[in-house]
Amino acid sequence: MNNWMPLNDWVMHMNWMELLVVFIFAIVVILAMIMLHLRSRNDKKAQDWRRMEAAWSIHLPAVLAREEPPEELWNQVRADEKLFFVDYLYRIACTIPERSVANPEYRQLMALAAPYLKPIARRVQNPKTDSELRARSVATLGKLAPLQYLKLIEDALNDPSDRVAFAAMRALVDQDDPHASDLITRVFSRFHDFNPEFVAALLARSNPKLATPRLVEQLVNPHATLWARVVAICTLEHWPAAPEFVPQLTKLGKDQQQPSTLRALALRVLSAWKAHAEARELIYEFASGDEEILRAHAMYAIGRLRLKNENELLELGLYDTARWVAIEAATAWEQIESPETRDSRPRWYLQSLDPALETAK
Amino acid sequence: MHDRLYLIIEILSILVISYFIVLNGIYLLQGFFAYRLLKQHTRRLRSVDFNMADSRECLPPVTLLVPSYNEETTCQEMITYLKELDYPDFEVIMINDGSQDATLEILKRELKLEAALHVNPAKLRTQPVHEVYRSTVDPRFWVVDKENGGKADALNAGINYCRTPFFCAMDADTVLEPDALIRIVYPFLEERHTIAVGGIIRILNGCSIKGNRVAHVSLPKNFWAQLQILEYLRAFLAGRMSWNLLGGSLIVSGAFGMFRHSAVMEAGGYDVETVGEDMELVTRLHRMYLESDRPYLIRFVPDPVAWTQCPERLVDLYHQRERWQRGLVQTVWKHKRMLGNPRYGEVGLVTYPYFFFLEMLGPPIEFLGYALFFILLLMGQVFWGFAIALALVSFGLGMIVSLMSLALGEMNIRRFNNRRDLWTLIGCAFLENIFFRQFLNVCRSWALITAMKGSKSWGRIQRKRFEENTNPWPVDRHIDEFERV
Repeated sequence: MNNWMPLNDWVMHMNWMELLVVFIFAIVVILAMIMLHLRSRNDKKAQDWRRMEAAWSIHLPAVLAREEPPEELWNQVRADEKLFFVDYLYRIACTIPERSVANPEYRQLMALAAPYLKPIARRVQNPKTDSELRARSVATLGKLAPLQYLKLIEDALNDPSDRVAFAAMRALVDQDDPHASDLITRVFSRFHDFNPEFVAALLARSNPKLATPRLVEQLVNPHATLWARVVAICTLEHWPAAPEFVPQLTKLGKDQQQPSTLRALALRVLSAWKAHAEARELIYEFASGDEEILRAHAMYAIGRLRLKNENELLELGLYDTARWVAIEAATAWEQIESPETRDSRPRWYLQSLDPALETAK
Repeated sequence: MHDRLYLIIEILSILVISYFIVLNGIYLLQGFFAYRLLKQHTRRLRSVDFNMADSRECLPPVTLLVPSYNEETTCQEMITYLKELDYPDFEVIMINDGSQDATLEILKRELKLEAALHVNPAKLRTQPVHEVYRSTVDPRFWVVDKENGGKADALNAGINYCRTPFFCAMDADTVLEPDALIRIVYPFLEERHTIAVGGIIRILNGCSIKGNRVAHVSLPKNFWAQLQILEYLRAFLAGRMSWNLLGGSLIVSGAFGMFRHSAVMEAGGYDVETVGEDMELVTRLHRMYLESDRPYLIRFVPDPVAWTQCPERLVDLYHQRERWQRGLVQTVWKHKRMLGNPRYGEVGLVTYPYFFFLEMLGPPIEFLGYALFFILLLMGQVFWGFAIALALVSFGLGMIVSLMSLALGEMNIRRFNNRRDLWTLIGCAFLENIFFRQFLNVCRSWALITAMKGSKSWGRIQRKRFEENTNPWPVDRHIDEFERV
C-alpha cells in the first residue's frame, strides 16, 4: 500500500488540466488496445474461417455429387463450429442459381444442413433476438430447409419487422406450396416502402398458376393501393402469357378512369404476353394520348412486339417533344433492327412511378 | 486600452475554447453513433444475398456518368475497369469536357466510337455539345464531346443524355469495386423514397491492382497520403455514417454517388456556379424535398467501395482542400436560409448548423486559436505547463477521434491486411496533429477568403496512371482470403 503513496501524492497535487491530459491519454491507450484487439480478433476469425473452409471444401464437392456420404463432412465439423458450418452452406446455396427441390445438388446441400438448423430456428422464434439476426436466420432457413421449417417461415411473414418479413417472402417465393403462395399474395402489400419492381421481381419467382388469379384480383380491385396494383401488374409481366386474363388487362388499359400508370403497364404486360391484337388497339390509342407515359409505352410496345410496319408511329415518337417518348421510340427502332431477341427494358415507368405513387396517396 | 484588449482576448479565448469543446464533443458523438449504425449495417448485410444469382432481373438499369477533362493518362484504364463491373444492366456516358490533350482520341480508339443518333436530350443548360458517340465494340459506352464548362456542366450534359432512372456520378480517376453498383443500388430497392446514396471512398495509393481490381490493400509510402487515409476513414466511417441518423449528410461525394435521375432533373441538375457541385446538389435536394413536404432519403452506405488517388504533394493537397472548402462555403452560404430553420427539420436544426459553424467557420476559428495562443504565450500570459497540457488535450482528443475511426475501419470488409500498417496509422493519428492539421486549417481558412472573392478556379492536381500510384502486384500471402472476401 505504501508503494502507492507517491502516486497518490502526485495525483493529489495535479490540477484539473493535468488530470484531463492523463484521462484523455488513458482513453487513447485504451482505444489503441481495443483496436489491436479487434484486429487480432478479425485475424483469428479469418484464420479460423480459412482453416474450416479448407477442411470442408475438400469433401463438399464429393458429398454434393453423392460420391461420399454426408458423414464424411459432418465428421469435420466440431461442436463449436456448427453455426459456422451453416453459414458456409448458406453461402454455397446463394451461389446456386437453380434452387428448386428438383436440383439434386441443392437437395444434398439441404440434407447436409439439416442436423444443425435447430439453433437457427430458435433465433427466429425468440422475440428478443434483434431484427437483423432474425432476418438472417429466416433467410438461412429459407435457403437450407424451406420445407422443414415452412410453418416458421410463414409465420415470419407477419413479423413486426419488414426486414424479417421480407426475408420470409424471399424464402417462400421459391416454394410451390399453394398455402405459401396464397399467403404471399395476401401480405405483399405490407412492403409498400420497397421498390415495386423489386418486389414484383421476387413475386415473379412464385408459381404463376397458383398466384395469377389472386394477383389479377388485386389488380382490378379499385380499393387496393396503387403500389399493390403496380406490383401485381409488374409481376404478371414476368410470367408466361395467361390468355384467360387478357380481356381484363385490355379493359384496364382502355379504362380512362384508371390511373395512367396502370393503363401503361397493362400495355406492357400485353406486349410481353405477345397479345398482338389487343396490344395494337392500345398502342394506337396511347400513341395519340395526351400523357407522356402512355405515348412512351406505346413506343415501347412497338419495339417489344417488333412491329415492323409501325415506322410512321415510331418516327412521330422520335420527334415527340416529350423526352422519354423519343427515347422509347429510338430504343424500339434499335430493337426492331437488331438481330438480338433480348427485350429491352422500358426506361420510363421507373422514372414516373414514384411521383405517381405519391400522388395516389 | 489594456482592459479592452484583455476583454477582446478573453472573448476570443472563450469562443475558441467553446468551438474546441463543441467540435470534439460532436466528433466523439459521431464516433459513438457511427459504431452503432455500422454494427447494425454489417449485421443487416449478412441477410442480403448480393450475388443475387436468382434475382438480378430486379436490379434497375443505371448509367455511370464520367466527366473527363485532360484524362489521357487514366481514361484507357478507366474503360477497362468499367467493363469489369458486375451489374446486369448499365450504360456508361463519358463526357469529354473540352479536353486539350488526347482524351477524345484515346476514347475513339479504344471504344471504336461512331457518331450516334441524338435522342431528344433533357433540357439542362450546358455548354454546346459537339457530338454524341457510341461505341461499336461495346454499345453500353457513350461519349459526349462538348465545350469545356467544368465538372458540373459536364455532369449536366451527361444527365441530359442519361436514359435510366438512376445515375452514378463518378470521377475519371475512380476505380469502383466490381460489386459496388449492386451495393449502392440496394438502398433504392429497399426504400423507394431514396433519392441519393453515397458510397465510401478509399485511397488507392499504395494498394495493389490485379485483374482490374484492387486486390491488396496496403499503406502508401508517401507520408501525406498516409495521413489522408486516416482522414478519409474519419470523414466517411464516423462522419457520414452518423449523419444517417439525422436525415442524411449534406454531402454525397462527387467521386462516387448514385442519384435518382428524376429528382436531380427536378432540382435543375448540378449548379455550375459552384466548385462544390456535389455538396450543393445534395443540399438543394434536401431543401427541395423538405420545402415540398415530400418523403425522401439521402443515405451513406459503407460497403460500396470506390478507390481514388489522393494527392501526394503538399501543393496538390493545398489546391484540392482549398477547392473543397471553397465549394463548401459557397454551398453553405447559398442555402443559409436553412440555418436553424425548423421548417427543414433535423437538417435545418442540426446538420446545417454543424456545416455552417463547424465546417465553414471552424477552420478560421481554430486558426485564430493558434494565433491567440502564441500571442498570449509571447506576452507571458500563459503558463508553460498549462500550454503544454492544452496542446496535449488537443492532440489527445484528435487521436481519440482518429482511433475511433480506425476501429470502425476494422469493422469494414476492406481492411489493411498488414498489422504494421495499423501501427503506422496509429502513429499518423498522433503525427497529424503536429503539422498536417494546421496545414489543412490554413488551406480551409484561405478558402473562406477566396470564396468571398468569388473565385471559381478549379486548380489542377497531378494525375498518375493507376499503376504508378499503386504497388506492383506482390506474391501475396493473402490471396485466398481476398478471393473469399
